[in-house]
Amino acid sequence: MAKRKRTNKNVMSPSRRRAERTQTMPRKRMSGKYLTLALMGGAAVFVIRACNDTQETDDEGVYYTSTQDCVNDGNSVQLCNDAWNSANIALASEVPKDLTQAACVARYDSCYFATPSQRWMPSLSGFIVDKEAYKENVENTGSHSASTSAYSHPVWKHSREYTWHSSAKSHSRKTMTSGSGYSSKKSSTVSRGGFGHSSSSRGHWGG
Amino acid sequence: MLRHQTIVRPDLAKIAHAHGFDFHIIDDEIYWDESRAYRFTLRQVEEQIQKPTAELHQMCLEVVDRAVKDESLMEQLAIPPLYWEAIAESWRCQDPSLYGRMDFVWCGNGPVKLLEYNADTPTSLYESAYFQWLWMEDARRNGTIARDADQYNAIQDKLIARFAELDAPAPLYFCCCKDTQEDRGTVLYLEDCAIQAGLETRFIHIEDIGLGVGGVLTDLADNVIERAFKLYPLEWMMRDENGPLLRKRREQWIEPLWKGVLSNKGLLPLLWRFFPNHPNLLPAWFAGEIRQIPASASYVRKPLFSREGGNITIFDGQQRVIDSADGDYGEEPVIYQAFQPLPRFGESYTLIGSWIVDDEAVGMGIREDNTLITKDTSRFVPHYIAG
Repeated sequence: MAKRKRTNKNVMSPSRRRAERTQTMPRKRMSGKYLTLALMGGAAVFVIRACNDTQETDDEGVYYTSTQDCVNDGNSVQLCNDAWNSANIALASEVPKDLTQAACVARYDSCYFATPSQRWMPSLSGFIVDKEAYKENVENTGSHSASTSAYSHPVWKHSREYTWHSSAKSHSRKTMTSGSGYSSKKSSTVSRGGFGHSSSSRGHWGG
Repeated sequence: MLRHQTIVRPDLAKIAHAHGFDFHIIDDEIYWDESRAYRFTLRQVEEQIQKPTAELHQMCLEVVDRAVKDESLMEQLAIPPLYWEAIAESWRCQDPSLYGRMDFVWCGNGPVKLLEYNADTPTSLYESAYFQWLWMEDARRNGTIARDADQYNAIQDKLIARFAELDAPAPLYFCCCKDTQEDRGTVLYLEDCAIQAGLETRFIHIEDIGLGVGGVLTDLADNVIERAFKLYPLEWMMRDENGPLLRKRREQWIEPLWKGVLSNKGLLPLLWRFFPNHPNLLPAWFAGEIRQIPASASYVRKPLFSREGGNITIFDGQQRVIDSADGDYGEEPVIYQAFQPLPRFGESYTLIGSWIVDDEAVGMGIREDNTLITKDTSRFVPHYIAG
C-alpha cells in the first residue's frame, strides 16, 4: 500500500484550537435562567400544614373571597382591609415581575394589568386570615401594618388552597372540579388504606 | 472538584421559610449546609458527570429490556412473580417516567463510579433543583462566588417541560405518606412544577387512597384516580393489600412499574454482568455468585431494597467489618459490590447525586455524611461551576 504523502498543512495545536473555540462560542449555560415557585412559599406551606380534608375551615385561618365576605362573617372592616392588602402584597412578592400577559394567563388563568406597578398580576380569588396572628400583630406592633403576611395570604386560581376551598365552600365533596372542565368519573369507595402500610413499620425512609 | 468555606446568609431561616423549605433543619440537625460549597470546572461536569450519567442510564434501560424477557433475572431481583407480567407490559407500553438520581463516588481524575440508582423515589429533589439555584443567585450577588459562576442544574426547567409532555385531560394526583414533612415538601414541589407546566393537579395521602366499586382507585371525594405520581416505593406497593390492583393497569403511575427493575440494588450485578469492566461501574455480584474481585479486596454488602444506608456493611480484605449501618432490611437477599471509598473533604465523606429527567442528565446535588455509609443524617451542600 502506498504511503500517503505528508503535506505541510498549517495544523493548529489542540490548545490553540480550544482557545479559538471558546472565544467564538458562547459558554454553554448549565443552570436554569429564572426559577419561580407557584405554590410553595411560606404562606402556601403554612396553610397546607393545617389543611385537613375533613375540615371546612383551616385550623390556622379562615378563607374569604372578598373583604365584604370577611366583614359579613363578623370581622371588623379594619381587619378585612388589612388582610386584603397584606395578601396582595404577599402575592406581588411571589409573582415574577416581568411576566408577560400570556405567561401570566398560562400559569394563573385569570390576570389583570396592575397599572401602579406596570406588571401583569394574577387575580386574587380570595385570602386566608389567621385572626389570632392578626390580633398578636396589632398588639405587638401597635399598627395595622400590611407589610407582613404573617396573618393573611393570597389564594388564586391554581393555588393549592383554591381547589380545597372551592370544594369546601360548596359544602359538598361531590363536585370537585377546577378550571379545565374535566369531570372525574365517580365510584363508591369500598375501603381505604390499601396502600401505605408497608411504610408504617419503617418510620422515616428515603431513597 | 474542590470544597471551600462560604458565608452563610444571615437571613437563611427567613429565606428558607419564604421558599417553603421547612425541612432545611431535620430533628434539630442542619440538613441544608451552606457553610461550604463545592466547585467544579465545566469540563469536569460535562465529561465526568453528565456524559457518564447519560450513558449509564441507557445501559440501565438495556437491563430492563433484558430482565422483562428473562424470568431468572426477575427472580434474582426478588420481584414477586405476581407482577412480572405487569412490569413487562409497563415496559412494552413505554409507560412514561419522570426522574431518577444516580449516586456516584468521585475519583479525582479517574472516572466516577456508580454506587446505585434511585430510579423510583429519589429524595433531595427540591434542594437540588430549586434551593441550591436560589443559593447560587444570592452567592453571585453577594460576591461569595464569582459573578459569572454557573451550576449543573437545569432540573426544574426539565421537570416542568417533562410534566408538560405528560399532560392529559385527567388530573394528575400527587401522593405521599402521612406524617413526613420532608416527603410532603418534596411532593408539593413536584406539584408546583406540574402546575407551572399547566397541569391540573390534586393531592392525596397514600393511606387515604380508596378502593372503589369496579376495582378502581378513588380519592376522598370518590373521584376515580386515573393518573398519579407517588413518592412511595414500588416494592412496598406490591406488598400492600391493594398491590394486586396494579396488575390491571387502570391507573398510570409515575414512576411506572418497569422502574421496579432499576430501583433495586440487583441492578448493579446485572450491569456488571452485561457491561463488565465498564469504567463507571464497580464489580458487583449476587449472593451465591462468583466473587468478581480479588480475595484480598474490600467489598460492601447491600440488601436489595435497602434505603438510606440501612443494613449496609463494608468489609475489608480479611472479612472484618469496616463500617455498618442499622436498618430494617436485615432479612432480605443481598448483593455485593467492590468497595470504593467516598472521598473525604474535611470531616465528611462526599456523595454526588446525578439527576435524570426523562432520559436526560440534567443536574447534580451533593451530600456529605460523617461516615462512609450515607444515611438520613447526611447534609446537602451546594455546588457551582467556575473555570
